[in-house]
Amino acid sequence: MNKITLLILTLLIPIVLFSQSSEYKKIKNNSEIVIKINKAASVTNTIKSKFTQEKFLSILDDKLISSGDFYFARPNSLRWEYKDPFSYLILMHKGKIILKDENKTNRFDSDSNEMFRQMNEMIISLVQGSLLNSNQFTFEVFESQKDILIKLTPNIEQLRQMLPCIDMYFNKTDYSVTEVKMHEDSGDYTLIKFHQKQLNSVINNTFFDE
Amino acid sequence: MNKRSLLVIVCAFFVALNISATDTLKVRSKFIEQDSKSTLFKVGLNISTKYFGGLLYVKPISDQSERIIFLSELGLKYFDFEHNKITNEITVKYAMEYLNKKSLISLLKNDLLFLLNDYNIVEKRLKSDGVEIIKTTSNKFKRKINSDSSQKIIERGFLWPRRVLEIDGTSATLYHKSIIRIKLQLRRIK
Repeated sequence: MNKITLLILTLLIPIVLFSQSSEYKKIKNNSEIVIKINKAASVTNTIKSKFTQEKFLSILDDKLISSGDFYFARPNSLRWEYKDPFSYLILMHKGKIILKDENKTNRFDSDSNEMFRQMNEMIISLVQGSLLNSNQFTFEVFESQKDILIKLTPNIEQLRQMLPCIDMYFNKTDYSVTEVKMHEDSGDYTLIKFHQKQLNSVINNTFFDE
Repeated sequence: MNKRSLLVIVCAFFVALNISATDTLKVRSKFIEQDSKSTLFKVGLNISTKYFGGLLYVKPISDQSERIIFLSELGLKYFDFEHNKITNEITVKYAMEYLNKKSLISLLKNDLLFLLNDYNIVEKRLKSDGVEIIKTTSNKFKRKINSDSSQKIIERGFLWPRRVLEIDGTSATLYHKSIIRIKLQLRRIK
């Protein structure tokens, strides 16, 4: 090995090491991570957060950005409110689901409507990370220095056609969900990032009223 | 007849019809600026008893064509159409199962074409009640412009009215004057 080759290799090694540090490595024995996520979810009674949603349209190479506020209270109360650039509200509380936009308000009973019962369960499970305990998904676990990435594949064919893969990112500090990325077959995806998150702060029940 | 007389007669003819050679019925340009990179609408689409709320995204992909994509607020794609501005045809790139029915797609395409066009007027007549009777190269319309600039455009069919478009600023409502129960409400947000 000549001196020039040695110099190039010496320069490359830190670059390779640095790039690997931000990469995700697959974890074969994932039960420890799943236990930590489940434990964190079990002691999370409320979540208050802002969110940003990016819808990436691959054909147009463009992103549609929206944002709003997010409130969750155990066992299954949710207020998911888009504020910019449009207003749209999803409320789940006491077995009722309310979808409200500028033109119309739709009310559903989550117990009497199978589709909305599943939607209710899925959203709450996404937030809590309890999708990992569901037999509706198979998953693989990856790890970087900062995050845990769990790649979920729906077992239900109908859901898999719409969403072939869901990536969930968990913060390694408190094992709460930081990002959810829903992939579509076309290469499009929807990425929801949670920020300014507060766990177990007081949320008044009136937040979940219409 | 010399050239000057001919010009005077042609001008008089157009003045009598209350139109100019370049007069257009501006439907599209009420919503979409020609030089805009993309336009985003908040949309409510009623099909019979079903309601689809979401975003309609119109983006030019070349001088000749543009993409029209309807998404739910959560990002789920309802349909993805490509509009060829030269041939004025819409092709379906994707439609979700519920919407992917030939007759429904055809109605949606025609409704969108109605919104996305500006029409070249060939004849215009003003009635005493303020309603304009407009004949374009492809359609016949009735239009009433109100004092607050809002307007109602009714597309005439062979025997009875087809579609009604009510425009108020950057908001619009399109519905059918027939048994077809499709109603599209739009508000431009970007």
